[in-house]
Amino acid sequence: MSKKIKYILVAAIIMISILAINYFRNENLGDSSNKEIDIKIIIEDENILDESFETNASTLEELLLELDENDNIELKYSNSEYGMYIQGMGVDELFEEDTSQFKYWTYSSENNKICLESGFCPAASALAIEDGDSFIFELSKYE
Amino acid sequence: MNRVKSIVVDALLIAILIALKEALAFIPNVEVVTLLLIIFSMTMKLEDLSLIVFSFATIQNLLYGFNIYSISYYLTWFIIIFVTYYLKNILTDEYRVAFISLIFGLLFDIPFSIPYFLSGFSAGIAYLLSGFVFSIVHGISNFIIVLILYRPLYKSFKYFVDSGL
Repeated sequence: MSKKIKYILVAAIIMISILAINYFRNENLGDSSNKEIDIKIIIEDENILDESFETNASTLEELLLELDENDNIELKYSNSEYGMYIQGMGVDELFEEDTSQFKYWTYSSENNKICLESGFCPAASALAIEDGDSFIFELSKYE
Repeated sequence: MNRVKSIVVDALLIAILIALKEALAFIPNVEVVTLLLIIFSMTMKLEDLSLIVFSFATIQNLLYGFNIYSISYYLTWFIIIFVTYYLKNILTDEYRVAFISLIFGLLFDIPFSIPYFLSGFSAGIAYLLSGFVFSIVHGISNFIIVLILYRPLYKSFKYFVDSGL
């Protein structure tokens, strides 16, 4: 086997191993016990949703997908290299981001452990949620 | 190669970069732009490289919207071409080029973390750590792609440049 092929194989094995470890690590993120989560959705300073939801979801992404499936919220997202990227949210109507106007969806939490420790909230797919967590999703203009 | 021909060739190379970037956009952190920019940096003049990178980054920003990352996008690709251009005399085989492309991939996110570091050190570190796995994927995929494609592409492109086409 040539030197080049050996290097390629070793690199490929390392990459696959890292991806596999990361996949299984994220699978074990959070716990799936019953919990109550507060969700607030704010569109340009107007509060369109402020409700608590019971869920077994272990991550914020799972919760959002569950709420979308149950028609509690409208949701539009894409899977970026950093996880779930929220492009639109709403209740009866979907409010989408508008990059030409610098309007983006962001979310924050005043009591989620990971958000508080990091200083900011990571992507929803990487955020483990706990009973009593509250999240505020905002569509705001950033200039 | 006269200036008009040079500009036309640069435009074609920019189009190739954009097309290949978009073709692989569905695979996170796997791209051939680094490989191509390395090859261009090994064979072309700095003024052409600068035009190509500036145009490529501008078109990407037009496609995806100018935002907080826009300046970082220019910075990242300019760093790659300048480092390669000034190190080209020691990048004498595909293994050295593969190593440097691995480093580019691993460090690719650093310019994008600058806006977060301006908000606070822990925010910048959190940003880098959250993308750490994908930085490794980026570096290793660059490494593999260079080992497979660098030699044939470099030979062809060098022939193209040397023959003045």
